[in-house]
Amino acid sequence: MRLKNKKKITVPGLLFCLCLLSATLPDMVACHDGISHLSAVDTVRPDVITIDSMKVFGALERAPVPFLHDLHVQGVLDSPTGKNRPLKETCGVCHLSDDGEISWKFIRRRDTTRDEVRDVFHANCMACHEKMKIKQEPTGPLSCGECHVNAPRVTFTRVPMGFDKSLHYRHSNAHQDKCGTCHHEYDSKARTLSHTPGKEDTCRVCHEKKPTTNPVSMRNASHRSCIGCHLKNTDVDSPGKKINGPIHCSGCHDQGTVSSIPKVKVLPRIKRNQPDTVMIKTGDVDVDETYRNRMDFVPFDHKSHEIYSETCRECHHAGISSCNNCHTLKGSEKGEYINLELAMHQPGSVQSCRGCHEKEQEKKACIGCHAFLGGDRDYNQKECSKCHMTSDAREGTTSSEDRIDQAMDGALENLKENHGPAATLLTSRKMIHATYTDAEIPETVVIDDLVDEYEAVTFPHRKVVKSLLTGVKGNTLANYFHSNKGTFCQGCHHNSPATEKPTQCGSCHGKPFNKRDLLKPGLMGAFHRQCLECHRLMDISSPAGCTDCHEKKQK
Amino acid sequence: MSITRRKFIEWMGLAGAGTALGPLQAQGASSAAFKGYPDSFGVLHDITACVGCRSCEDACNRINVLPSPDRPFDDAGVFGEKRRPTTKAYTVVNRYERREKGVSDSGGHLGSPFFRKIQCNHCLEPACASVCFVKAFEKTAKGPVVYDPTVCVGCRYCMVACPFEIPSYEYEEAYTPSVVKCTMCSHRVEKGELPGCVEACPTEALIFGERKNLLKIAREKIRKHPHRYLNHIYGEKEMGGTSWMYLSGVPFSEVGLREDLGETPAPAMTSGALGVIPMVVGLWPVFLAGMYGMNRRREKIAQEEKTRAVAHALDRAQTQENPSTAKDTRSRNIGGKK
Repeated sequence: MRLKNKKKITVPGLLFCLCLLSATLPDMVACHDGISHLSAVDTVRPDVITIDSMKVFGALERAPVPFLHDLHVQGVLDSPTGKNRPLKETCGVCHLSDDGEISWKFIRRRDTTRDEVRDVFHANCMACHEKMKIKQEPTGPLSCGECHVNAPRVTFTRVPMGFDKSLHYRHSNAHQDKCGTCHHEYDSKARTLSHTPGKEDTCRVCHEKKPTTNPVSMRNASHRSCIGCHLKNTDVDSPGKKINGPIHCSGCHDQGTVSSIPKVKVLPRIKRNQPDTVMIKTGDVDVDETYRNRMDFVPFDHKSHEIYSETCRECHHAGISSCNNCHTLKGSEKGEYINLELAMHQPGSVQSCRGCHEKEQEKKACIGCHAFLGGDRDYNQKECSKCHMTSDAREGTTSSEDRIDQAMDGALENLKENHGPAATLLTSRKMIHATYTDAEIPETVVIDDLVDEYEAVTFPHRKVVKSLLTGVKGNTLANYFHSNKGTFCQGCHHNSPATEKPTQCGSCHGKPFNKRDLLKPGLMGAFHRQCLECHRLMDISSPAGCTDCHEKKQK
Repeated sequence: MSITRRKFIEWMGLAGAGTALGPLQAQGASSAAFKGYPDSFGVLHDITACVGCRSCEDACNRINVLPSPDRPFDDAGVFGEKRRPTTKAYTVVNRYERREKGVSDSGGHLGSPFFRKIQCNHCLEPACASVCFVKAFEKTAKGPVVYDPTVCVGCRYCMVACPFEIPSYEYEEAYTPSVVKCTMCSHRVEKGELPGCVEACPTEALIFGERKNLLKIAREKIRKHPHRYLNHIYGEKEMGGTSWMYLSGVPFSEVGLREDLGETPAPAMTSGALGVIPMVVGLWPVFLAGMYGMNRRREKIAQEEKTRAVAHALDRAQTQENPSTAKDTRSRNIGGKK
């Protein structure tokens, strides 16, 4: 009896496991073998193409047709004829091509007349559906209203596709670092594509988002190049199904499929002759007195920052060149009049140094303190020199202008050698790894200023300091900018000078709702806001209730 | 007394002009120009700072000497349902789950729910007061909207009128049921004390102060933390402005506040229709009295003419029959008729 029962449980269990395995396995490799994991029943999908081609001829008579591209590609591949057809001819079933250049319109090269385009769709779609019906294969709609639906069953959703470093490496590695396979420049006179090594830009520098013809839009360019290459790299002329890379919509635009692409763990640097370290120069050659640079140049560790960003365009926009080519001191049309100062300091922009560094402060380990500092801080003048570093050796011996000239020369040299003043300055930076010693940090603080309904709180002060410090251990950004032993204390003891004995909460916070100091919370508010907000932001689940911190007073 | 047609038209004209002027003035007084009493108090509820501890509910219960609740104030189980203020709880706190999970790196911290305290918003131009025909509600110069149970007739128009669905009614009271709502602890505010809920709030998610200062605080908070707050102070303009205002990080509809109310105060919306009432009340008696008078006069004239005609006819008949006795007969007939 017992055994029987056990069997009853295990058999469906095993079946379930098998189902899971069979369901997940194709998914895991989906990105690579070009099989779409979408089925006809999926309603939220990335392969919905709304056929409204007739729009160019005036108002539509019937509702546009939601066309499921992956379903049709898979149908073509799986059909008896499709199985014997060379893979690169698969697209040719629906798309015409000239000299290998595929037209992405359905069995036509251009939209000629209303009647002709309409007939292309009706004749070809219906013919194929009917043929399959005769063969008693699963097929698509055969009546008008089944295609021209007013309320489509499917909704279109698509994740934008882009190369991260890992995906870029997978491609560059597969092509033995032949960058010219994808990267090219267009010579408008010779009307040819060429490739200059070391001058590669991102695709978006020429191929724009909006629909264009010459150069073609980003959408057309990427579909043409990516899918074209994926098809080409299959076993030529063989009917085999080994596809190197996705040819389905879902292969690139489905969240699940995209995130299942294996990430390369140890990535070598992208090879584009970029410097390890560089001085961020002003770039202006003939600047008038008003716009002359008065700041020390900033040494920039390019190599380290490559680790933090997924793509070059995260900082460089589409075209990869020095920031000061467009962002000059004065601002230029090329740089949309965002001058160098703004480009480097604009809060809220991830392309500016400051914006990106502030974004880092939103991480769980940092936000507990940084959330209270506010997003509108003025420049702290003491902090300028953290980036605008002055070499002590040079200072005093040369005028500031000479220093700039020297730095400029150094920066040029830097590009070649990676051993310029930038590298020297960067290595001279001091990282603060610790705050005060344990003996200097009070172990507990008894908060008894407000004892009324609840007993006093014994605040584990040192434990909190230690755990906050652990959070930023090894974080160079934090270690460099928390420049003073006491900086760390200022996270909670805000507005206090960075000293060993910072001001206590009650020194500033008192009775609430003071008319003369509208924005300062009272003492009770200050305690609770600071503690609870920090716990919430740092995802610390306790305290769950009032008595987790202070005992209820017995009356 | 008799009314001539000329006089009647004169009266109607006067009455019409008088009543027509009335509503014009009423509308002028209730237009959006009223910005609330100067230096009146209010409360700013920072929804992002509320932790749902329900200390405000507890304090409200104690200060207003309300019956003890079915579930204790430290029971978080009450958040399972969306509650409304009742006759036994002038204020309640509800929990609202976040619709969108955070996209930040740390993710988790953006997933925590919001809490919002619900109570009377103490409108600058309260709908409850504008519909109350016995003036049981009054907006005081200090800010609270207070209620006088001694004059209330129990029509509950206030409950229908309130856009925030706040007033509740003591249905269980058999003899002296009254309308119940938050008083903004008016008795404490008059003495210079804080409303109970505000005093109890441990996180200062409730900020008490002059309404004009609260707006300054709210704007500064929004300026300083643009990612934390929406650039909207709920109650600054809603329904012509309220003394109780809200700051939130998500659309106010997601924390149960109506966003379809508009900025017109409730009295301004009804003043047009209510302005017609004096016109009807003023003109109707004059018009009816006039009609009555005219009808009476017409009947009287008709009667006189009839009598005269009858007399004349009789007279003539008698003169033809017996010219000598005609005069006697006529006088007897008239006497008999009387």
